Amino acid sequence: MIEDARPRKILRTLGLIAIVIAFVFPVYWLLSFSFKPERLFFDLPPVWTFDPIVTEWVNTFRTLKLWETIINSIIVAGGSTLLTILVGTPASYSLARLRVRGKTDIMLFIIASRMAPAVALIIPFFLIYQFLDLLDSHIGLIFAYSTFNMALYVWLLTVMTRELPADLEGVAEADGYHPFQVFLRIGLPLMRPSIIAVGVLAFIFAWNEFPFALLLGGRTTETLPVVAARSLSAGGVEWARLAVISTVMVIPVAVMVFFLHKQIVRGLSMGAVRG
Amino acid sequence: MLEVEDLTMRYGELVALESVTLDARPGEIVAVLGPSGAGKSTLLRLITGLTRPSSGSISLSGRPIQKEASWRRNIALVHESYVLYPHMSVTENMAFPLKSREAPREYSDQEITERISEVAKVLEIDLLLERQPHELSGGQRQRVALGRALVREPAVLLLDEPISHLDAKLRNWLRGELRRRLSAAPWPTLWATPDGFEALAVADRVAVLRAGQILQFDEPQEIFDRPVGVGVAEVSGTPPMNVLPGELIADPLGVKVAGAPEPLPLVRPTQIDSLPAGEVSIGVRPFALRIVRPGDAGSSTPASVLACEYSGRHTVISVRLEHETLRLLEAGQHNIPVNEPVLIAWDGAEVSIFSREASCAGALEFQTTVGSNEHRAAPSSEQPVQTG
Repeated sequence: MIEDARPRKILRTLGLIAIVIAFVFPVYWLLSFSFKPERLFFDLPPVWTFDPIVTEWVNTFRTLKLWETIINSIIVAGGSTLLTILVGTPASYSLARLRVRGKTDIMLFIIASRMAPAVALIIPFFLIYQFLDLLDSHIGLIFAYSTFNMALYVWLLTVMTRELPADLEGVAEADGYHPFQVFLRIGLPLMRPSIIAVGVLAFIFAWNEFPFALLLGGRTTETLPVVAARSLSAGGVEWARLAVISTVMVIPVAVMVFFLHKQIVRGLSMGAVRG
Repeated sequence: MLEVEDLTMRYGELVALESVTLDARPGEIVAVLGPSGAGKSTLLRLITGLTRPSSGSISLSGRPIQKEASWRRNIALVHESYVLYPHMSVTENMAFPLKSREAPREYSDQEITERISEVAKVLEIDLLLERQPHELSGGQRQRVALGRALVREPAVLLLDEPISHLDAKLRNWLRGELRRRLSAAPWPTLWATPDGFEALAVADRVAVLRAGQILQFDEPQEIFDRPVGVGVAEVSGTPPMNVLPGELIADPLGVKVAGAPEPLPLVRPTQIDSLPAGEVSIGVRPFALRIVRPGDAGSSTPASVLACEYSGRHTVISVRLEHETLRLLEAGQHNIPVNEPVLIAWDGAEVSIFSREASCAGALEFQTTVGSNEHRAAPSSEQPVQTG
């Protein structure tokens, strides 16, 4: 076994390197496009070394007012994630840990609301929003995103919260704590990794969301996916601009996952909360 | 004073507890003894208020509490699966009930520290106070759970198998220590356990619970000496009383046991009219039976050895008697080979006779005759022995 260890380790490392390349290369390729002079885009064999230029970055930010778009995206995705967490967390806790009448029906209803394709919901949404004057408003998009994110969030978080040790609530009540205090002092801290994991997921969904943003949004609420899509037109594809916007879109998600990956893994596995 | 009256808990068709009535005085330890599934934990949950009873009442010092919210009752519960708060250290776990708004009084930080360190020393967890629950072994977690209850000044203390997962040395020591502490406490304690020895050792009174019903609620010695039925007899004592089917014969008074060549003659100390007729269950304590050599006087029954378990001063010998297994206690060390034929002497043994149809009532005590041949001939009309 000991003689085996070295070759096995080398093989393992090589395997890991291959996997990392497979995943990182497209990101690198995207990034390189945003700095490459346009004439080199489709050279074969590909050009690996070139003097990076920032013209496209400057242009994109200036002509498209990309900052405004980024802020729109942050408001809409962040707002809907926040709303989802605020409303969804107590809901999940209740469904997972408390005696709620018709619990199974509620869970089924929640998952069913996620089954319909977004396109099927857009027309009713559009009509309702037109009536309520919510078209092209941040709050309108936040609510729209929260509907589909809530289903995902509550469903996943409920399933995860069920995994907490049984009878925690009973013991805490016997220790003299009101159920609401039990939620705050026992439930919430233990749900935290899951809240973060599922919250990140909800944020990513909202961040990348396209059809709702396109049809319910407008000039003042344009989000990154909508602007990115405009790089693809009948007149052709503006590769460099698309690369810039796509890079901008990848950054916050990458940063978030980088800093929270431990919590995310813990949340998804719930391994660390066994008592 | 805790009083539980006529407490019934039904889950649909299933009756988890039926008309349970018991009480416990301050400083008294009442053991709730019963096998798993008997309803022990259900009873404790009802008293804690985590479950609402179907009917019946629970009162504390005369005040009915069954409608009161569980967090207001000030009842300390040690859960059988410990249930520590996973995100809190041992200290934080133990301080948690003391920091509750519903605690009987306010505790200063200093007092909390003192109470925790005092209890932690007794439970030998004083070196683990900064640990997280996931860093503890099962036995350590159980002690932390116990500690979390012992730091409190509850109205009632409920212990659900509180020392079942500790190693033997600590369990033996803690049993005595807990008895000493809790007897001096100004609150009553209910101690649920499936262990008959533990129940008799630790309690002032024992409630034997089986299939949701209390079979007997009495002092340990009464439970041991005068079990009211098979259900009680089978859970008290180590090893517990042997219970086997038999048939009672009125004249001459005797009992026919499966596998015995002839009926055992009985000497009856009580009135004859209360005798159950026909098929009965016979209970005999392991220490009342002996292994004898062939030819020894008295009534003996052939059997074959199943196992010998040496335990220091005694050996528990299991023997097979036709369809039944008997256990008997012999002083000293014995190592009889498996399947070796032996003779079991009943002479002089105290025998309890339980009526079969109502196994929870109608127990009678007898003594088998010593060395007398007077009644030994069995009537030829005897029915074959019933087993099962």
